[in-house]
Amino acid sequence: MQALIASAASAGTTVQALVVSLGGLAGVFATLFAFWLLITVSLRLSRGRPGSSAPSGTPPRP
Amino acid sequence: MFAGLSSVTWQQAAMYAIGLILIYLAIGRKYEPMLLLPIGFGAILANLPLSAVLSYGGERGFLAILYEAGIRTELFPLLIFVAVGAMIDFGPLFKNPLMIFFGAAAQLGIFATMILATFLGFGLKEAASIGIIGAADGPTSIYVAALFAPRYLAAISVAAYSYMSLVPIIQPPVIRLLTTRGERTIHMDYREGDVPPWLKIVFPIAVTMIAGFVAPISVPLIGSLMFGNLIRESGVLERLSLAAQNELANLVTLLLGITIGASMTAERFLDVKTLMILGMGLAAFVLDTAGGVLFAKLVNLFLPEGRKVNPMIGACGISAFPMSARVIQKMANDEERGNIILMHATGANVSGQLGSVVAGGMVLALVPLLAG
Repeated sequence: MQALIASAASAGTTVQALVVSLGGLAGVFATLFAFWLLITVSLRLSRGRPGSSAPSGTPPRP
Repeated sequence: MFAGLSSVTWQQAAMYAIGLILIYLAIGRKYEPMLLLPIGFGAILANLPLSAVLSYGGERGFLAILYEAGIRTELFPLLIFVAVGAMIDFGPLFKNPLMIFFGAAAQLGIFATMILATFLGFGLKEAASIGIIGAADGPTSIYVAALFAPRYLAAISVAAYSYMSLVPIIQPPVIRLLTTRGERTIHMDYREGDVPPWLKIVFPIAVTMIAGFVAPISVPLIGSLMFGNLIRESGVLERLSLAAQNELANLVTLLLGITIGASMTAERFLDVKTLMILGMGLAAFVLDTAGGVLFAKLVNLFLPEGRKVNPMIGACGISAFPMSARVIQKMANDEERGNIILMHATGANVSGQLGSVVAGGMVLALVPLLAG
C-alpha cells in the first residue's frame, strides 16, 4: 500500500487525480455499504422482536 | 468624495455588475436567494474603492474579520451542517435502504471533474476543490476549498450555490438523454413499513463512528451533520432542534453569504480560471446526474420485473436536498400523471447528502497523501 502511494505521489497530476478518484469512489461506496448494512441489520433485528417497532414518526421536510 | 470615484477601475465596475446580476438572480428569479443575495452584495462591498469592509487604516475590516473567524477556521460550513442535519429526516431511506447506493453513484461527477481539471492545468488540490462542486452541497465545497484552494473559494462557492439552484434546469435534459420514456414511467411501490424509533437515534451515532474509522479527517463534516440529526431525532431537544433549523441556519447563512461575497475581489475573481471553474462546476453536476441514472440502469439489469427502480431516482443521489427529489417527482408526474416516486426520491436524496459528505472526507484524506 505504501509503495502504491509512493509510486502515485511521484506520478503526474492527472494520474494522481485518477488514483484519488478510484480510491475515493471505492471509499464512498464502501462507507455507504457499511451504512446500508447498519440499516438492514437494524431493521431485521427489529422485525425479529415482535412489538418492538413503531411506525416512523416525522414526515419528510417539505 | 472624488477620491473614491476617481479610483474605480474597470475590474471593480465589472464586479459591481456581477454583484448586481447575483442580486437579480436572487430577487428576480428566486435562485438560492438566501445565499446569492448576500454574496452579490458582499461582492459590491468588497470592490468599492478604498473599501473599509476589508481593511481600513491598517486595521482589518469587519468582513475580513468574519472571513478569518468563519471561513479560514471552517467554522461557518460546520455550523451550517449542524443546521442541515437538524432538517434531514432519514425515514424514507430506512424504508428503502437500497436507495443509499445512489448517493454513492451520483458522486461520480466530483471525481470525473477532478480529472478534467488536471487536464486543464490545475494542481491536484485545486482540481479536488473544483471537483467537489459536484457534491452539490455548499458547506462541503466551502470546507474543502478553504483548505485546499482558498484562492478559488469565491468562484467555487458561487458555482456550487448557483448550480444547486439550477438543478431543475440542469437535471431534466440529462435524464431524458439517458433514459427511455418507458424507463421514466416505471412505478415503484412504497410500503409503509415500520422503522424502529431507536434506529433514528442509533443511526447518526453509528454513522459518525463509521466515518471516523474510515476517514478520520471527515469527522468534523459528518460529525456536525449527524450531531444536528441526533438533536432532531432524540425527541427531547425540540427547542434546540428548532433553533438549529431556524436561528442557527439563518444567522450563519447570512454571515457566510456576505463573507464569501467579500472574498470576490476583482483581482481574485476576474480571471480566466474563474470561467473555467464555472464551466467545470456545471460539468460536475451533469456527470453526477449521469452517474446516478446510469447506476440505476445498471442495478435494473439485476432486479426482477416488478421490482425495477425508476432510473430517474438515481439522479437524486446528487444531494441538492430536497430540490432534486422534487424535480424528479415532477418529471415522473409529467411523464405519467399519478406516478408517485417522491419517497424513494427523497431516500436517494438524503443518501446523496451522506454520499457528498463522505466523498468530501475521502478527498480530504486522499489528496494530501499524494500532493503533500
